[in-house]
Amino acid sequence: MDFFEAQERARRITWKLIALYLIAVILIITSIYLVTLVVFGFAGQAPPDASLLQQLWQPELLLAVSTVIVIVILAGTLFRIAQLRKGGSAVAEMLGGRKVEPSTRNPKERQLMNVVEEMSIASGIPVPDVYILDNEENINAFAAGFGTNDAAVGVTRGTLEQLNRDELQGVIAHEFSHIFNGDMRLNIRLIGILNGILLLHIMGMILMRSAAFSRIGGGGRGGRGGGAQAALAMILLGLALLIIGYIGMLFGRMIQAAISRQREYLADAAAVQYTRNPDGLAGALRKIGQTKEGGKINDGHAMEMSHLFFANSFNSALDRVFATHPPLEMRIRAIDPAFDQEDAKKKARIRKRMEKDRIAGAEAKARQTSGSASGQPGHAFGGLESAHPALRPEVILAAIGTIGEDQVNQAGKLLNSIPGALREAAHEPLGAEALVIALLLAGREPATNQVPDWFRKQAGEQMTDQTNILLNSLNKGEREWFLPLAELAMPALRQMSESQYDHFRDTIERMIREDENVSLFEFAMEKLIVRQLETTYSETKKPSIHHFHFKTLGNEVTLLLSAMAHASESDTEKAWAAGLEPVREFLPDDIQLLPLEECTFEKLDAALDEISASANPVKKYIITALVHAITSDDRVSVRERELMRTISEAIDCPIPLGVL
Amino acid sequence: MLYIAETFPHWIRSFFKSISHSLAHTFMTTLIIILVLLVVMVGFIVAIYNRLVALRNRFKNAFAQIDVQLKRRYDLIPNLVETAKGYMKHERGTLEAVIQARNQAQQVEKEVAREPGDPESMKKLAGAEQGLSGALGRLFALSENYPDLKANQNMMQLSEELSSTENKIAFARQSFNDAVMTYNTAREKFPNILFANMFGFSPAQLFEIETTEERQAPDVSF
Repeated sequence: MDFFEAQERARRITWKLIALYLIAVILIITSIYLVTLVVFGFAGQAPPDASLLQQLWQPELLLAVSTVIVIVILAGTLFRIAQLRKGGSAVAEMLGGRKVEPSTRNPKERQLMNVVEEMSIASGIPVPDVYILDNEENINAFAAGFGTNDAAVGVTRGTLEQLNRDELQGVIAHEFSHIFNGDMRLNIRLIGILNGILLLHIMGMILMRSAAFSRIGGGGRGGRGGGAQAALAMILLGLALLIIGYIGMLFGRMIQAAISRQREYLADAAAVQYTRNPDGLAGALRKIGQTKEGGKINDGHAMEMSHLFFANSFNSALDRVFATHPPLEMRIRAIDPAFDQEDAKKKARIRKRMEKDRIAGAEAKARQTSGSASGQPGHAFGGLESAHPALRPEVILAAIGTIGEDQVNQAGKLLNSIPGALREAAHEPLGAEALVIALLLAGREPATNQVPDWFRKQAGEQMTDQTNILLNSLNKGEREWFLPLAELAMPALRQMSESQYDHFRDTIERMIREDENVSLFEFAMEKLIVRQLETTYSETKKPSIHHFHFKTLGNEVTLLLSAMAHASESDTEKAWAAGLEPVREFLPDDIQLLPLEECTFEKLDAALDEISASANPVKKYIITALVHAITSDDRVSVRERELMRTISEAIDCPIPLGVL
Repeated sequence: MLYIAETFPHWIRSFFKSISHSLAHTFMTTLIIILVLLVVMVGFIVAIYNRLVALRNRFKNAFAQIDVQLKRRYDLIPNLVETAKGYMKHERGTLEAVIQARNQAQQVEKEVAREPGDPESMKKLAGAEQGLSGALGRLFALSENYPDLKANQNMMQLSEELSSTENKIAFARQSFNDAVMTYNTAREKFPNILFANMFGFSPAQLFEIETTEERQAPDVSF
């Protein structure tokens, strides 16, 4: 299953979710209707001698009940979803998370940051914000957000203290696979739905309490007669609402469990695939099993968000029906067949096969690399070169939205090869600002080694000096560092206050527009930073999907393909033809390669906005076409790589490190 | 259902009938109105509450940024003093004052880190930081008289790092103050203020370094 299919499947599950939601609402309305019917003695409208059916069917009452229920549930749902619009950080903070300083010096926190950074760079998504739930002692973790741009990953204090690096990596890989499987968006909708139903429960409790309260008050004042009658009515109403609330909760939790359990198996499997190390994940699961409370989360929101977590966040007597996660033993068994001692042989066999696969894979890669690497320019980083897979479109497409063990190792190597001063700067807001400016200057064509005077005046001596130092080491360093460094800097940049961000944005805009010609790298950086930070600092509306077909995207696709063809360093016509091939049937016949002058960044920017609002199958075809254009000459130029990176980032299709 | 109702004793049935005949209609209407109002109100209050929580978390997280740099500075100072000791034999008083100011500031910082924004401890921290900056300023002023110290490689590196830390603190402080300001404004707005006190959202204190003289990072250039 590829990335696009996984995303699409998550979308389909959303429909299932909506269907279940509707069923739940209908069932709730029915039950409440029946309860009210009993409580209010079949209301007065029906004549006493009416048939059973006539007594049961009272449209006015039904209408009243439905109106109230629908209003309550809808209000609760929409309200919560609106609240979580802000993305992963909002969820993490709601759970009482503390953001980990990217520049932290605490060894455990540092390790966590390193694992997350490696995983992000390996998969080609910007580094998410990382949170620690300081008040939670049990082992658990979560990922939240709408997409790769506003994701947040959180772990409990217990996780940090009790797991070793491999186990932590397994847990983080599991969370990353939730990001790639499109589970996060689903999860947020699920929280909204649960909140709507939960609100009903809360209201039931409030009314029950006020009923009990008014009984005391009423009894004192009115004596017998009317007062006693009203009090009894209130108690019965309160009881009814309590039942309602309970029914609602039951439905809510059943929906939650139904959706969540299968996603967890999927995420476990993916996590093993990412790290190729079932022991890490299995070890983490085993440690959860060994603690008395399992993965229990004490925060008040744990119930409605339990499907978000790595392991069951609360324990229930009816685990089979309500557990949001499969039993730990089953999960361990699924990824690590040697859980039982008798299965040790099976485990050994699987190990062996995996080892064989790996050797075969490495050999294949080595063969292909030696065949195609001869003509690859601008690829100075050794580790990347040797692990460069075949430049076959299928391989590249299959790799989108996944991580392999090699990539994680490579990411580690790449990060370690970056000088400490650059990495440190990326971890700290002021340094990250200087770093972005330095990256923009170093990425200019032709590269400069001088910070402009206006910047010195505006930002002051010390900032300029720091920028200069960073610029120097960038100019001496590798091009491969540039985009990963920008992605590393994101969590630190997100720590700026709003006014600091406004200022920063003006500065980078000026820096980019200053020299008349905007380079591709500058465009990529602007796109990356704006997309990333804009979601933090302004309430940008997430575009809803409105392109389900190529027909409406003809111009955009032509533009993208033309730009990619021009980015090729050899034969533009050939690249254009190769790129057109997979999508020809969807496009008009008279389609023509656009001249270079017409492929402006403004147009490209607009086209990417449109394409990011298209359905997954459409995106897949577009990416396929672009990949074919890139590989037509069996080599990837720096321009091609950067353009592809920008495009994939802009339309949320993360391409792992070293694949292109 | 009907049969259950049938089995109710007569008086309950007649009670139901009596309230249902006279009240059912008005009762349902009232109930709907009450429930809708309740939903709107609960939703409204929850919204205010959650927004305040989010803003409070934001400034607390912003303080963590300052905290990292403050700690860095506290770690650097003993090294600096140790290096300076070798050269400034006759300035023991100044050196001890720096260490003392540093220890005091460190202690206050620990207190503040537990509850950032708390007016009293924030003011204490500002005071302690001011004292530390002052003591450092005197040390650097005196070091002008010791050319050997100024030429010391270690000293140059330390003072460079110290000044870059000062910069980062200034930047992080601005970010923190912006976040506190947003929180305080949101807290004081009507009708938020009605609920803010009820839920225990107390006003937060800016991290200000007061006199204009101290506003500048201490001059550590050699």
